[in-house]
Amino acid sequence: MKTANQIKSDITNAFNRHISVPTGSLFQPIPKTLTAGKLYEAYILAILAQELTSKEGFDLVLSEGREIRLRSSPGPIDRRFPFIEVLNPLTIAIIAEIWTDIEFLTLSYVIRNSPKIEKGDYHELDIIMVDPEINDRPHFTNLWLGVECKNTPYKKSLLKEILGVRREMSLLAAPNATRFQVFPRSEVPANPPSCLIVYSSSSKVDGYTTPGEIFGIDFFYKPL
Amino acid sequence: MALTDDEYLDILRHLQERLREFAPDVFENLSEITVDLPPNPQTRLIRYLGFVIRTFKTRSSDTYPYILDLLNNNIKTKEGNSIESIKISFTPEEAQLYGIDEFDLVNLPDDSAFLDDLITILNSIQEDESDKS
Repeated sequence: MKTANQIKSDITNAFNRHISVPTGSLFQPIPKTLTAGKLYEAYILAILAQELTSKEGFDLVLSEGREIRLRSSPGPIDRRFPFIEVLNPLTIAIIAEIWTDIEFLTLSYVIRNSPKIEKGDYHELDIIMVDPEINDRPHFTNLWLGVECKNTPYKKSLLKEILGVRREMSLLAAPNATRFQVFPRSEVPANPPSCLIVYSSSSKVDGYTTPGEIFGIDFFYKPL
Repeated sequence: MALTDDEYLDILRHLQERLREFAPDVFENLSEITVDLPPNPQTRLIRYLGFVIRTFKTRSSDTYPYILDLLNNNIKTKEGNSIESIKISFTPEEAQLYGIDEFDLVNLPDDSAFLDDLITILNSIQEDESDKS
């Protein structure tokens, strides 16, 4: 067994050998939290694709090219970006599309019936599955599935955030059939019956799942 | 001989100091979980080191091939080729700030050797735990 001083020395050596001390630079480096978050988002996109092909039987096809492109900042659907087509394997028809980093127009915006869109009238989801052929921000009724990818320690404020997103996606209702047979769920207590998933790299997420049982939010601990 | 509680806390402080020096963003990111760590010093150290390992793992390019394989196993391309890259596209303002329009995640640093060292350290601390029981 090593002594405390030996372990401390091992820790120092590991940092000295492999990690460089950040230095002040004139040039702004790309924040590591951004790249780490995007790597996790890509991982969850892959996990989601696996679930949708294996459990729902969908065929997934990249709309163009050979690159998955994740936007650094959210925005409306921009059809210059590649997206993923979701095909019914029997009819080969495109039944939905999967996009990343998209803002959707909220329930409260529609109820307010105001043509002017304010900053509070749309919210970002990291991954969405929506009706095909939509331009600009999808309407909350267009959402089949919303996914949030959290690569930070899970905490209460993140739960409050996702409960707010759920509130703006649908009303609490008796269970309604979703667009899915199995994954993420066949029924959801929401109208319109959109699904909402939180993937977290933090095991602490398991302590925050109970409100989701009522409001139809699925939480998955998924470390990379 | 097993380490004492004070020694575990001393190692934890040492780890946090190195983290603050070499990776302040990770230190900052993990500051919130510190208050929730279990009171037992040995478990505290093991849990914190586990968080450090997982955090660096999600910043390292060595996970990139695995993610790309997973994408290719489930998403086709129009031409029947494989997906070859995962990129971040920046807004015009960010592109001006960073000097690039996009960033291929394959260019993330490869921290696998660092992670191997940390896992070895974690194992040695866990061995101490099993020595105690």
